[in-house]
Amino acid sequence: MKKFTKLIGLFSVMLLAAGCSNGGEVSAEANNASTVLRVQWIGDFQQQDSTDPITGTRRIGLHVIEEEFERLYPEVDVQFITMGWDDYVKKTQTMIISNEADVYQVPGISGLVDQNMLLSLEPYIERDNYDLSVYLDGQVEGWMVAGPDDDELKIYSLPLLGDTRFITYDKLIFDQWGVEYLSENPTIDEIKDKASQMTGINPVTGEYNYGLTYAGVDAADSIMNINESLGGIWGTGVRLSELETEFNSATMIEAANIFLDLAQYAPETALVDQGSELYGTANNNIAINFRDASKTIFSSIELGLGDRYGVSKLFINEDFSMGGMFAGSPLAISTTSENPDLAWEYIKFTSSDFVQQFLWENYNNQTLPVTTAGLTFEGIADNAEVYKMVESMEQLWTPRYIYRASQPRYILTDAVENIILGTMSIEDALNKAQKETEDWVAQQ
Amino acid sequence: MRNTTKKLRDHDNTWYLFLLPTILGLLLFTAYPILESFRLSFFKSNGTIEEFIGLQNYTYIFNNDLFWKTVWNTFYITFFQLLIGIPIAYIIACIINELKICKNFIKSLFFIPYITPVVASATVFLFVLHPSGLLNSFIGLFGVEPINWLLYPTTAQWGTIIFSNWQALGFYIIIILANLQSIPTELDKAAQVDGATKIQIWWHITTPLMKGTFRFLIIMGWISGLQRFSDVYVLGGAQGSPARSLFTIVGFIYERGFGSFEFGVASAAAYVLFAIIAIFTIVNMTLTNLKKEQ
Repeated sequence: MKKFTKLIGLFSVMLLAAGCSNGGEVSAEANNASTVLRVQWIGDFQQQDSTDPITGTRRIGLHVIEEEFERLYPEVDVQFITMGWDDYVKKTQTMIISNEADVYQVPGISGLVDQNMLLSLEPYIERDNYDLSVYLDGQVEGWMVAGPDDDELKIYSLPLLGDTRFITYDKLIFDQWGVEYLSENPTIDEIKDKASQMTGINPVTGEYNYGLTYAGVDAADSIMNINESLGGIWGTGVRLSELETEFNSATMIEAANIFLDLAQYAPETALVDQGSELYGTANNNIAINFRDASKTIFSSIELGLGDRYGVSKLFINEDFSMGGMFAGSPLAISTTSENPDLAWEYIKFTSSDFVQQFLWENYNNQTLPVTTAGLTFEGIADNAEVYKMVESMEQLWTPRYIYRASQPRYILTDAVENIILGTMSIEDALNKAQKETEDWVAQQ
Repeated sequence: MRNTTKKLRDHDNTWYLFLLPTILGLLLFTAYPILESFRLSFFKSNGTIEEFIGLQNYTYIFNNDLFWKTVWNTFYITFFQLLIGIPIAYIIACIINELKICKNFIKSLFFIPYITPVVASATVFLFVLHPSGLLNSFIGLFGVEPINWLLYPTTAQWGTIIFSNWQALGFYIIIILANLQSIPTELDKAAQVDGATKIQIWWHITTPLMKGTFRFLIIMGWISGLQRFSDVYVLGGAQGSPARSLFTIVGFIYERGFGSFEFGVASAAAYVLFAIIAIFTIVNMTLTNLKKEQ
């Protein structure tokens, strides 16, 4: 009996040790006939085929990409690790430290490069003379960052998932009010004028319409975009410790004033992302969405609303020919990867038409193509609204706003919330944001 | 005699082996992070690159207005949660205690929110607190105008207080009921013989006998309230919107750690929170005389 209990105790310790050991090594040993390449996917991606719970659309799983890569590289066993967007930065960082994958999706790239967690891709690009012109304009530049030992911006990642923001509008509401649709590149005055015309009781339905809404969580980005249209910029600097923001510039103050003017045509609770829930559905009561994402458009198409929702581009700074927050997801190789060469082959593979078209056809609710070939895909080339959407990715501000990678992002958002709520004057709020940012940078 | 001693020692060792997995788990996943976090609080660290800076993180936190705002928010929400929640729970528990039928069913009804994950119930509360949500429909019955609960700092905080009370009420009720059921019925009967009314018995006999339970709920409520994060994260987002009104101390730690990669600042804030909880618990115990009675 004593021996038995000792054995049980020993077995428990062994179980604990096994639980704490690196599972990857075990699977590699079990499958020693091939090299294992582990790839992280962030988003609502499924390994197996699935059905969208809202629209009922059938989506083919990522196994197709896995099979194609393994067909091209028969000696490789690709293993996908899928996860959601919640806490993705924290999870990615933890995964890199514990060497859980070789290839990572790194929209929060700045913090990871700051910690020397990612390999520079420039030696690989040079070695293979890899043609970066396969990507849409600005997509590579948007993800360039400077590591702690770099003197200038470098390529640590290449784009996988395209994302952008734009202005959308409900053509049906425009028709009901007899207002001309928004132009492709509307001015602020055009938006304000049309939003004011469509705020009130709808002459056809008799229901109350709002002329406009905005994404409360991104209100600071909207003000920054207006600022760009006035010739302003967010600031300068390639590293967080060298940031010089212009949060209280004259153009930012003017931009905040303009935003407040526009916000009077939006639901009062838009700041906290309430009141605009019907936008994108058949029962919508809002004419213009000042800052929207592709999900609204594609969901409405899947809901059978056809081309009811139109697309216009964000504002640009004429001097720089760009404007709007750069977004999306690039791929990078971790410094802990055991197969960096193979990881690089995989990254190149993701720019192929096969991968980009697969993602477009099955996951267009969360990604747009990042390659120039994407503009020729069915559903993009033949759809003016979607084409504008993809094309708008080429005008986003690059390199992306580095201040958004850390504390200044929260500082500016706080200031903007106070401005919209009227708890602080525009000047006071933006001066405070600028001072807090300067103090924060000095502390870095 | 020697054999007996040996047998006893063998017996003890065996059980140490059984304890070993738990002890290892505690050392690895509790003790080590606590010590590592304390060490980090003296460093400027982004997770991998570190630099010793002494007490600078603590100085920074003590001089940071936002940190003190989170302290205020945390104390405000917790204070009113307990001030409102415990008396309501006491009244409901007394009513349940008097019920002859469906007692267990009603107890279960109140307890369901407590065992529902906070994130799930807070997500549902986003709809309850919606301008055209359940709460506004309810107050509309009394002629009160709809309130944009999550739009303004004060109403957002009160929305959180309502949610946290709804969530914790079941726990308060169960604890209070346990005490109510342990009060000897002889006391009630003696008072009745002396001519006391039910209200008088409740106020002069039952309520004073509940002091120990109230103390327990207040102390535990403060400890969990000071660690508030999940519910305000769902209701106000990572930034504790609107205007940082739902930004709590743990939110500050989270933002600095995982939003800005300032692990040194986040660790120092975690230790300041630890000190606040320790001091506040001692103050609570002193004020409520729990320590003395124990």
